Amino acid sequence: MTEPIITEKVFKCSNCNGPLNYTPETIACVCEYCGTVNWFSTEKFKIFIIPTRTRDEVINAFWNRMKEDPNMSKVYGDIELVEVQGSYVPILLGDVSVKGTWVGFRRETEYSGKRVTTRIVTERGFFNTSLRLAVEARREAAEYGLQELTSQTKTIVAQPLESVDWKRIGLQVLNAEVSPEEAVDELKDMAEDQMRDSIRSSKRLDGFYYYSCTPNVDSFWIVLAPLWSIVYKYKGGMYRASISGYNLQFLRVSEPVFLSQRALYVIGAVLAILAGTFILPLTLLSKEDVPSIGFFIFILSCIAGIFLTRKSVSDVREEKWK
Amino acid sequence: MSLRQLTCINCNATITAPQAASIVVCPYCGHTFEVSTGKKWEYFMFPAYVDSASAWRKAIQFILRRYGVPEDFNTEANLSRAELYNIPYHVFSCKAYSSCSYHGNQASYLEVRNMSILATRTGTWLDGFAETLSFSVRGRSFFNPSQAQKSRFYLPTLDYRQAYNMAYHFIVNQAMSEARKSCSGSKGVDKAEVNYLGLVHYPLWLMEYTYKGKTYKVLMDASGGRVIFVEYPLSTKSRTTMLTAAAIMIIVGLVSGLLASFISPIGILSGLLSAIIVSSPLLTKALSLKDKGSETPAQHRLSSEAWSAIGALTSITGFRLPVLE
Repeated sequence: MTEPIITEKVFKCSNCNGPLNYTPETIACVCEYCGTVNWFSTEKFKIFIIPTRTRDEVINAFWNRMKEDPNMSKVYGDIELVEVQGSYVPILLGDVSVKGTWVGFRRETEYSGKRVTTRIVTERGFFNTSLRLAVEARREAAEYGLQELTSQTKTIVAQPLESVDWKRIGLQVLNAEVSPEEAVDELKDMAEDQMRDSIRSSKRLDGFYYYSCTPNVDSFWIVLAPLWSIVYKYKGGMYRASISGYNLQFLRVSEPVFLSQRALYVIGAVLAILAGTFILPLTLLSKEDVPSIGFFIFILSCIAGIFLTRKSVSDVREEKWK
Repeated sequence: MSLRQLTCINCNATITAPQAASIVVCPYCGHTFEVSTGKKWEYFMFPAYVDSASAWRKAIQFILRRYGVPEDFNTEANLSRAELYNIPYHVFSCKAYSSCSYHGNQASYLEVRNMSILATRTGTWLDGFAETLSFSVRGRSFFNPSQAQKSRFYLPTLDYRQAYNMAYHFIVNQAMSEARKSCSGSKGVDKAEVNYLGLVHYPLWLMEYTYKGKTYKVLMDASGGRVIFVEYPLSTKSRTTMLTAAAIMIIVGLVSGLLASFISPIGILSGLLSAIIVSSPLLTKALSLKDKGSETPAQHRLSSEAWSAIGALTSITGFRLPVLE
């Protein structure tokens, strides 16, 4: 890798030739000298934007939620806002038409008296439909609330970039990292996977003998969606919340676990132990000899118990919106 | 040094580059490309937006929300080491086509992945975390030498061809597993494409602090301020509480097991077993020396050891690796 060759020349404003501050994230660059908006990346993708509500509205939405939440309202006075940061995150959207056929199987278990029979049912079908897909247009990115924002973006009508006053944009704007070719491939891959998963769950299949899907990307575009990240403090501990700048909806929030909740989790775990203890002997006793069901419930109650015990010593309760 | 004039493929600016340079970064628009092929490469940095003081503050606040942290933690914990590491990743975009035939029907599948492969070993404990790091959603910048000078800056030691091979194995393997999910007939990978996009440097704060004579580790994301990994002490009080709760659970299991054994002798066994299983998270936490935490999801990426294992597997199955020029 060679060093970049630094010369005196810089990227220039189309109107006044003044130097522009260009970074990999630049979609539009407002000239410091004459105020002209210079566009970049717009020939690669159709780019739209979901304008954000103001910072004050976001902060108000946060406090309102804390006031209304039955647990958080009790400690309202101890909450302290530490950080409020908004940015426009690029999300790739696409309409993909898919058609294909499938042959799948399902295992069905029947209990008749002491006999347990399992048979395999074959099902087949075809599909010809259209999907609206959304995925973050950043490479290997993870951010609190980003997934929820991405799925929310599917249903929002975004506006053309020009409708926003770039001189007063205020937030950090992030550029898409994928190329149009990659975008098409990514959407096709997603469409194949999503179709397969939805058939599998809606038909309650255990697997496929055959699945074929021909995806065709009808259109794709980038939407810049406003994501607000909030950090707040309660008794010295730090918690996060993310809010959509579109409708001030909470996308995800982490809240402290209070002592009374921990106690409830422990009680739940004890109940799970009791259930696990009695289910096996009871099913062995019953006339309908179905020990496999008893064993299944035993394992389920152990899993539920572990889950509750873990919760009782966890640091946060997470709430998500889809 | 002999120079030559090149035209940037992206912005059409004239660039002066050394004759020997094979990859050029356009100083005007940042477009990075291979001179011989015109192929686009990227070379970015995630700037360190978070300084050591606020990284340490965030780490403390994260630890303080955990269960069982001693009450005097805030006053007794002292930062003893804080170093900014800037570590390189090779970035690839990969795709592979797999196909399958089932009773005369043909189906093909496309698998697309972005992949970042840790391009160096720092020799410190952060390597394991760096391998599975997910990037923050924060603004990137073009390569900036002054950012590099302020940190422990690592140049890639893993050759990009080697990383390319890892990415290649991985995508082939992914495409095969995709086909396995979809089809029970005879399967194969027809074609795989791996595009080397370039380097990304990512900043991490490697920190250590002492609490009552013991040293604990902290790893912070210096770009997004996320907690990647922390170790922290547990108070005696919380250990006692957890052990007591576990003991109660086991007693409940035992007593109810005895009652249940009137129904069937298996009762005592199922009572004890479920109590031990359910109380195990409490026992392991209460008895561990240090507790750990993180708020970043690990990317489902594989370590280099696993990559080579995949490589071995694919070589057994006869899939030939392309030779990279």
